[in-house]
Amino acid sequence: MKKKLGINSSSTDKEIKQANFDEVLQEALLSLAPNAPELKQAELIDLVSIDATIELKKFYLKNKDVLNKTAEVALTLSDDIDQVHKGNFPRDIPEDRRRFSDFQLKIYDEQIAKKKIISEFNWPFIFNADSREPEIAGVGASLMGSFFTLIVCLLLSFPLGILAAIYLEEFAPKNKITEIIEVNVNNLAAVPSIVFGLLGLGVFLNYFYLPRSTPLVGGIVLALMTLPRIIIPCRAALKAVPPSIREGALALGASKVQTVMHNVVPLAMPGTLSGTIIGLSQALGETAPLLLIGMVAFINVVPSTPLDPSAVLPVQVYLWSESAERGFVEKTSATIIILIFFLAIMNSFAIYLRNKFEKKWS
Amino acid sequence: MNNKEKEILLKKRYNAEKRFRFFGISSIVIALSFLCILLVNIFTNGLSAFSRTEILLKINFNEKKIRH
Repeated sequence: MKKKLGINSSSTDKEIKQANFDEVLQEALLSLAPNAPELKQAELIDLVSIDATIELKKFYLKNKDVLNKTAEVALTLSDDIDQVHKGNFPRDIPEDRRRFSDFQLKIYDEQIAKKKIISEFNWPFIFNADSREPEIAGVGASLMGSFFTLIVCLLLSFPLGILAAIYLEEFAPKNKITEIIEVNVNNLAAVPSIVFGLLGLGVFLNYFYLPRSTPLVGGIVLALMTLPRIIIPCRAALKAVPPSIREGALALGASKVQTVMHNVVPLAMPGTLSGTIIGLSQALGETAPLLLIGMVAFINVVPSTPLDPSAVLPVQVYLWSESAERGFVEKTSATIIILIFFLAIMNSFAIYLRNKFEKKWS
Repeated sequence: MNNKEKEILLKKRYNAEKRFRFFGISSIVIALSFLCILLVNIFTNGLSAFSRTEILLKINFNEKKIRH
């Protein structure tokens, strides 16, 4: 088979995806300063992100008619120039103490004057996975990881918690054993969360050999932590249903199970649901137990199932806060903003549920 | 207990109530200001991450230079 040197208008998408756009990109970058000495050429190439050739490829896949023509393409700048543009790097310090050279700054200023440097909304920050390069790192993977973790946590802790609360409150005989269980449930809510992490490491990873760093294990560990936080408000909500409701149902001939399931539990639902949501929002912000089960790993692909390794939002904050690049400082705070945003949504949903469905007994 | 002693006692109780109000309000103000400092700090640091800087480059898509 003859090896083709370039692509042509009949190339398939697969061939284009394998093609190498480095040379056209280099040519365009070097043309920014045509007479630059060889030493400065590397600085020119460093102006753009290392992902720029991939962006070029994506642009070409969308606009195939540009072959053998010249087109203007928007390419991501490297994080250093990005930070200069946002005013986070001082420009007036000596060159050897900067991460960008005078030459790069000169090119940048030229392009600013020509209005070739633009700012756009950072969609890749929302959808991309983590990266060592701040300009292409995103929270997409940790958003998905947090989502899967919370789903697993909800599916495990909500039914278990509600059933435990109903049994303890409505059916269990009041004796020494249930008293001990009650005390233990209350104590469990006060156990430091990192202890649950140790439990997850010892039991789920080392004994059951569940996959490491996955939302599945994270969700199970967080479910253990959330259980008492669901049981306690659920029991309080069940206690708050007046005895007249139970007596009325029993008087009409309902069995004990019918009384509880048809009359008491529906009335206790608003309190239970808001308690569950508050418990879940605590689980969303939890870092310590997830560190121990390996969810701190550097994951650069967006997980598609709960069995894929992934990070979660608070762990992403922890990881980025340790990175040295200036670009990660703003990314850390931006991740906190996203986390606060989701917590606020969940908590206001809990308040809404409480106000909408809560019955006042007079 | 004569009238004067009663007045002093009453004044003491009113003063105690005023102090209590002052401490209560000031603790709320302190808590809120910490929250404000935290939020302002995070938002001033973080909002710039929601924009990205791009360069418009003229690219010549020469088919001979796109290696396969």
